Amino acid sequence: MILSENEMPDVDLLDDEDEDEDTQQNKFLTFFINQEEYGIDIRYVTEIIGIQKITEVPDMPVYIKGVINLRGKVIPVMNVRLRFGLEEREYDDRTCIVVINVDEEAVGLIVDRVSEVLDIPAGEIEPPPQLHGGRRGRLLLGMGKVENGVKILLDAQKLLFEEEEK
Amino acid sequence: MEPETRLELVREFVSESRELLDEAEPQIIELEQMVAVTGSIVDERLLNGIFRLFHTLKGSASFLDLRAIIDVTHEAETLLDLFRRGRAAVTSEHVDLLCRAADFIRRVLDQVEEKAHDRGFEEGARHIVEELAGVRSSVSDLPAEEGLQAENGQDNDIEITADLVRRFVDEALELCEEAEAGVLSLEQSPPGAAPAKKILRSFHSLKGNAAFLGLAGIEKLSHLAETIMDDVVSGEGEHNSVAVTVLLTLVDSLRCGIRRVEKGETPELPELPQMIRFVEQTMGLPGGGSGAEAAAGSEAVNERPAAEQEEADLMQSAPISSYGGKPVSKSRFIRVDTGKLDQLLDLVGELVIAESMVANCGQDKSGLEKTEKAIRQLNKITREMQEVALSLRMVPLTATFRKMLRLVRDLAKKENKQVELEMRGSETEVDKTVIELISDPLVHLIRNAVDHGIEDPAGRKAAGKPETGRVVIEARHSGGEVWIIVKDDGRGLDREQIIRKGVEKGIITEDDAENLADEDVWQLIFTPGFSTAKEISDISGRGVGMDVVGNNVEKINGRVEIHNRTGCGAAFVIRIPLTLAIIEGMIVKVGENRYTIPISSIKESFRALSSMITRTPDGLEVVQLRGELLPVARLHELYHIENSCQELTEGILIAVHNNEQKVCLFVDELLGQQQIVIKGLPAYLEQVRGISGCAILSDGGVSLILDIADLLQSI
Repeated sequence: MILSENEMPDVDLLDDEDEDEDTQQNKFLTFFINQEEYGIDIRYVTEIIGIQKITEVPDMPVYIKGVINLRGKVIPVMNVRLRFGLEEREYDDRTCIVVINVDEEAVGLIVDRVSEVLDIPAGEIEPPPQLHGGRRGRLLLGMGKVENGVKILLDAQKLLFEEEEK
Repeated sequence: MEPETRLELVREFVSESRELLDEAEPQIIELEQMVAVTGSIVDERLLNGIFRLFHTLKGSASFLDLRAIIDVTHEAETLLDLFRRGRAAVTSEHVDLLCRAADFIRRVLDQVEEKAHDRGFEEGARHIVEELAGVRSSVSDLPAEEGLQAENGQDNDIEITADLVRRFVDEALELCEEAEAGVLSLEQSPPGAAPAKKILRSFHSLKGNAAFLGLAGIEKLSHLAETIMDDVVSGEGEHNSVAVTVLLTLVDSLRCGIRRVEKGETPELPELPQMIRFVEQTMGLPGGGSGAEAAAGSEAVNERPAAEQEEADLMQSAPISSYGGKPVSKSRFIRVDTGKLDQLLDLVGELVIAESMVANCGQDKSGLEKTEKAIRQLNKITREMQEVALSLRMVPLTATFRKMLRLVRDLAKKENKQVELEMRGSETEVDKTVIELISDPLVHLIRNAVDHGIEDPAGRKAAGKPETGRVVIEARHSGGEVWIIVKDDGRGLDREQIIRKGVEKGIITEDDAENLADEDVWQLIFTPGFSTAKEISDISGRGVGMDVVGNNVEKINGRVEIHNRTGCGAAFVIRIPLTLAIIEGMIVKVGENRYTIPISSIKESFRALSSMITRTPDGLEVVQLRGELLPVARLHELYHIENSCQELTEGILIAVHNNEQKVCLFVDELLGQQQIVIKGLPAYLEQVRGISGCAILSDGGVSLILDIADLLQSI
């Protein structure tokens, strides 16, 4: 018994190393849209840049605003407000583009302003509450409970690739 | 041995051997590709691999006492060993033989599996063994000597720096290429014409360069070539296919020599005496007797006496080395248009000025504003420099295309066909990596066109076509891609035959076959090992070619399209995306957006007078330009762009064309023409109507590149 107790921490340590190569586990970058605070898994985030001139691309869904030049790489930018069907808002000096990289695709997300990086343990994340099996919340990873409220955690994968329902 | 045990062993042996062959065959084929590309330089690791496989096979066969397999593998092994020890150069003939040996072993295995013995194959085995042995003895003596000489002359070129040699090799290969292209054109042009003089100059320069480096062999051979050319120019010598054949042989020999120089081997031309003798004999004789014989010599290698053997070998192996298109080791040099260099230099000059601007701006009160301005300027210059630097990697396809001339000539001669090669758009520039990878596919496509596509003169006559077949290679920009097209006016692809073969090979079932669309049928020929040729010839038929085409094109993210008209010919279109390509583009403004229109699509641009414009009641706008009526397409309407110019007479009309279709695009204004580096659209956006990619402009903004063909289709 004593032996096995001694072994336990070791096993845990190993597990940690396997799953969590760095300290990015359960960290979320939060940003504001319409006074609501959202979070996105920080592993997807490659950088945050200020708003810049966007070149329109024709025939795109309304939330794809166009493309920008990110140091020689041309990447599409998505207006997260429009992705959620919210009203568009004038860009100001706090408007940011959060560049995320999902499955080798770099996409910029236009957000009202970035807030902070938060630690939200898996235990504190609840699946998005379902109401009548509706399609609301389909782009969400879950709701992250923190000390002073709830953050809406986005599923980066779905945010980029989930088809718009007609 | 118990019968049961033996049966078990046989089964194991058969499956194991098949695996070994499966492993060996691609490697042999790789060997062949290498031979095709580099002449005879072969990867040792690869050879060892193949050797080991045959060796293992021999071992297990001897355990079961399968004589046929033991004999064949043993001979193959001995041959491979020769190559492995560097005593002989691999030619495609050897590779061919090895492939046949592998095929033979497969057949034996089939029977062994069924009947557990290999009786009945003695004859076949003897045949292959003899062939292998024959090939071996023909190659084994010559190179031994070569090796010795190489050791002797090792310290000859001490004073010559590596850089010097490198430059000589590059230049010499180029001269060879020039001379070769010239010689090929000689057959058509009258003596004394300009190309003949140009060839003379090439040989002469080569001679001079070689003399400078003390390369007596190359000097001597170029001198010989010069003499022949001199006679041709002065109209004295024979100006016929014999002279051409001899000159081409000389060029090949020179090229081999240059490559040996490149690798530091001496003497650079071990076969010099034979070569000189051959030239003197051939050119000394009246008529085309000996030359023609030498040209045809490759078919009859084994029957010829030893003295002529080497000449025949030369004739036979040298052209193969010239097919590859790639120099033995990748050249670190690249030819650059001096215009681009000037541009780069100008930019560096500007950069220096901008730098001093930045350095000076902190010194007075208005510093901040000045700094900003200076940095913007700096930014702009760096970007432009980047673009020019990128464009330095772009190389025209000219050299690659030119090599095909020779290929077509040799193939046509070999098959007694009359084939004319036409090249279009060879000045099209593509990235250097594309050049490197496109050469092999082109060779294979052209081989196929000449070998399978073009019929013999009688056949063509019967089909009501001119006796001379045509092969066209063409390069052009189309939309966001470079298209390299190989087409012929031969018999085209045979759907039935391909399907039959596909069913036979188990790639498709008979039921599928009926419903397959033509395009899907054509795709079948890209399957490795797929060939409809009835016999394997040394030109094609083993089904490797199209596999190579598919693979290489895939490596550069391209694809191959096949357009076929049975009886009238086939066209293979290699479409390579322009991720690195550069085009000349016109930047236009529509609303807040800037679009780039490839210059090649633009006919002209003009400001319309209201008298030129007619509106039909249903809203169609037509502009009359020098008597021609062109429909107007408003870009802002097509792309729903706001804040743009609405009045036709206030903006600019750009007449664009795609094939026969012409349309006037309406834009706000022209911003200027410049070279742009094309980038693909982010994959996330998928295909966008009428847009082939995007370009980063000098201010860092992004401009979308219009694909006129696609755009016109969508209107």
